[in-house]
Amino acid sequence: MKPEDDQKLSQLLRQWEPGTEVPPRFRSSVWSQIAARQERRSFSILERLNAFFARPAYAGAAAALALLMSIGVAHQHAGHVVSERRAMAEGSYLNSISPLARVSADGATLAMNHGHE
Amino acid sequence: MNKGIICLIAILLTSVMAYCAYFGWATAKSPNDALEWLQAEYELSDEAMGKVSLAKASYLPECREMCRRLAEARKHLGIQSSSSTATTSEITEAYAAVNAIEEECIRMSLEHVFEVAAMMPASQGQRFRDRMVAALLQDRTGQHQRHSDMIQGGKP
Repeated sequence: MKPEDDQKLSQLLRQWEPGTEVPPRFRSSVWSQIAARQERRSFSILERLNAFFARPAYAGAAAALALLMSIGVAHQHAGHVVSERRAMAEGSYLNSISPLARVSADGATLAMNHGHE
Repeated sequence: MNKGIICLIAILLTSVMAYCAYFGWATAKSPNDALEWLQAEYELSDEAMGKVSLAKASYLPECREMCRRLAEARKHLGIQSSSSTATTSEITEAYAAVNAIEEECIRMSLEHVFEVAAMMPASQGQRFRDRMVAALLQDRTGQHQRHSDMIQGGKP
């Protein structure tokens, strides 16, 4: 493209004006529509949940699944806690009958009362 | 009316309650102290448990005295080994003294274990004896290692 063509194009563009007129308060109307759509979208998740759990079959299945999962997790957690308590109690019993386990190896610590109660 | 949302909240609440109820039930019978553990683990009757408790009560003063002697002997060994850069006759004597007391402790603990095992039903007594003897001897091996490290390192 020649420099003269470039100047002609610039001149043409300066003279050009869009034929349609923007209605009054066009910009604020667009923004209010965007805001309204966003609001509708955030409500739609709750509405979907509401619709899903309003169906007895789905709600029953979800309840059964949730109960099974909570009991399964509780079972795992309880097993861990019980075995930990058993190990601690066994260690405590061993400490209470074995001076070797109770007196620390550095010879300075006297664990005289520990476990003798 | 948000019937579905109410249903969802009810499901969540029920699940939390089920978790708490199961956890509470499953951990209710776990032992809280050493004697509770002993009774539960070896299925001891209250009568047997009474005998075990009495045997332990009569064993404790002897055990306490051994703890005191052992702690003193180990302290002496620590002092000897930290004040010397080479193995001296004092260190050897202190080490021998610790060893002798530890041997006595092991013998005393084993006697108590055998006494308690005899108060249990035969199969449980056997299981208790095997477990406790293994634990006591393992403890003894650990002590030997620590003493060797102490003397080689020249520090208590």
